[in-house]
Amino acid sequence: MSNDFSRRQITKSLAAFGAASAFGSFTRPSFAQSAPIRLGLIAPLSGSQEVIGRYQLAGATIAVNQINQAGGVLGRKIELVTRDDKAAPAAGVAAAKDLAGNGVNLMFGVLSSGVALAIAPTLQADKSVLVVSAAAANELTHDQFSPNVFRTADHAYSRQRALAKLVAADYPAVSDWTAINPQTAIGTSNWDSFVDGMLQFYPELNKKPVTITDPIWAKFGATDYKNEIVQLMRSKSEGLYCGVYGGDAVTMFGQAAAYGLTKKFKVLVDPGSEFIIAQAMGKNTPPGLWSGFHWFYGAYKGHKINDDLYETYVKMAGDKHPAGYVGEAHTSVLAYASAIQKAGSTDTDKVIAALEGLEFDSCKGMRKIRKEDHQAICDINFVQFGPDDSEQGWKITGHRVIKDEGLSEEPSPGQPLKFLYNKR
Amino acid sequence: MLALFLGPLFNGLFTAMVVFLFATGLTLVFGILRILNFAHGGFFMIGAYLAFSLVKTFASDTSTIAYILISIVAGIVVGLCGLVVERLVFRPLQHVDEAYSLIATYALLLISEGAVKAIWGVSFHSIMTPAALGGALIAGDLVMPVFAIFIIGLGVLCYSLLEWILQHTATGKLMKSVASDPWMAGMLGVNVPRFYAWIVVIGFFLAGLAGGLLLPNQTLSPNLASVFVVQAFGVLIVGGMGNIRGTFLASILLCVIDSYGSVIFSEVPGVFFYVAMAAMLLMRPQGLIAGARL
Repeated sequence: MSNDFSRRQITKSLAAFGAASAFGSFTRPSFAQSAPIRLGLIAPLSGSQEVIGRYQLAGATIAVNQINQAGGVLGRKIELVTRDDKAAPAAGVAAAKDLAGNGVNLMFGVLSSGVALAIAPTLQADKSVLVVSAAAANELTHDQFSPNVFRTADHAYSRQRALAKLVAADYPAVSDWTAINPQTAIGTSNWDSFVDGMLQFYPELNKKPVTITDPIWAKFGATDYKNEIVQLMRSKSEGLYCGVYGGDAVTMFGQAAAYGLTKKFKVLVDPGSEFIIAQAMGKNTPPGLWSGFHWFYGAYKGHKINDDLYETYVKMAGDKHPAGYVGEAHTSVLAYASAIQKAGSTDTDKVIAALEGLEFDSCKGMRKIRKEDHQAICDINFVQFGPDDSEQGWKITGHRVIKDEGLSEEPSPGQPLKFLYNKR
Repeated sequence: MLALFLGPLFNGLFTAMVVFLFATGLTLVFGILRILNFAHGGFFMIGAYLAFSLVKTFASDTSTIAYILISIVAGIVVGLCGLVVERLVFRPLQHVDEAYSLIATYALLLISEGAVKAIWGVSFHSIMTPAALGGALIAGDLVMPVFAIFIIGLGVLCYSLLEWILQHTATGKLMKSVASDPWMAGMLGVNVPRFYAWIVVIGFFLAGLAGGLLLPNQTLSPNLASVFVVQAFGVLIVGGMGNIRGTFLASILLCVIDSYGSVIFSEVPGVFFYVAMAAMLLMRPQGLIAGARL
């Protein structure tokens, strides 16, 4: 089963539901009350992260279609206007400026933290709002906080601390951890957050200290990890935090097979590759690998929003394994719909006021956007993978939903994130 | 201790041969046609995807022989693509400014990326090393994956073969003479356009072959086209702009320095390739093997 869905399939779907984003960009802004409400999706629709951008587009498209079929918001249809940020900050800023210039003041999406951090300072001048659907950098709700930015997804601090809580509870015998991390801001942020969680939860749950060994740093997008793998093979740690993610993780695990890396470590965790590693590696998927998810559909069976989203996605894309990005883009549209309904307007200031403290239902249950720092408090999902003899070559061996109870930090917008336990 | 000193050397040699295998076709085309083929990475990627599809279709448990044969088939298909490219792109641009060929080959790169997305999608794929090339040889605490040894051997073999052809055969001497003075070669009866076409086909064949051979080492995605391009142009420049021997030596030099640098200064991985490249260009701006084409 492939997780691809072609442009043609998406275009068909867009045409069928009358939410043609591609054409939306050419329509003139209208301020009539009956005119559609235009939401701007900023996503990587080309370049190295296109695969993720397509997921975001799918999730957003489904949400818009569902809302429109139910009568729209304030009696108005929603229209999706898409812009490609290429996962590059300059292109992201250009996309946001272009949307604002075309009268689209309500934006969402954004995968890359670098893009989100570049767009954030431009929003106030343009009287726009950005609801971040994926970018996880802690800085967005801390030292680089903007009153015009909200995040409806989990962030690095809560996700990685949740992962630490999971492994501290499930693997009490594994008390020595190390990592291989990409030399990027999010790589550092993820690792620091995980360590913070380990230093809190492991002693709390197991009544003994945890050892954190210095991580191995790798170049982002590296083609060869052998030197790093050799260093990991010399490590005495039993738990490996594989901070390199996505395609880089596939390369790393593929090259590590000859060294027996996955057998050396008792526990392997990954901050957020979702299905990428299993789908690419098939029968060679590292057994027992835990991966962070923005949203795992299997964890919310019976919840109507989840089930409807999943079924619509499968029908639209022909793919049984939607990535969490589908759910998060869907969620951002739902957040806007709730906020606009609450505000009774699409005016920027009124929507911002409505988003602050907003509680709304989503594919993974209720979320609340904190008034102070605009960070959503929501469930955090993890899935465990393993190889399988089926044609697919891999299977899900477990999943976990961790409630954000004591995982997120206290709001401190404008201030750097202070780690409670990780005092490096 | 053995691993500490020889590990980076071994891993650096492996990366060097990966880069050399990638850059061989690029060097050949530049050395003779003086065309900086930006699309080389794109056709390397197409070779890798073709090999991937062939493995998935015909040989789910790939033997080493099948893996090599599949890589050769991928090379042949990409070589035939090279024939089309030569006729439609390279030949019309032979007598115009080099900037046009740069733009044209960049456009080709974009087309090849688009073609890959249209045919294979944007998801990540990978295949594992053939069983016979899996595992590792262990000497003390030094672990040497068999696949890495295979690629090092293949790189050396490829270089030796090209060097022998260039230095000791009539074909090689003809290649060098056309590279240094195509007009004179034409006056002496060499069919230069046909010769150029063959060189492009061989260059593309080498790109496709490298794509297939290096498939188990990389993750497949439409981003693969640009993965080795910077390193390949780096060794091409440091080697002396279109010289096979220079490219081979530069690959080893830069990659081994980078490997040691990444281990010793592990907080700045990947930087030392460029540091070494800058240093080499400062010391020998003309390149390691200056003046001699091929």
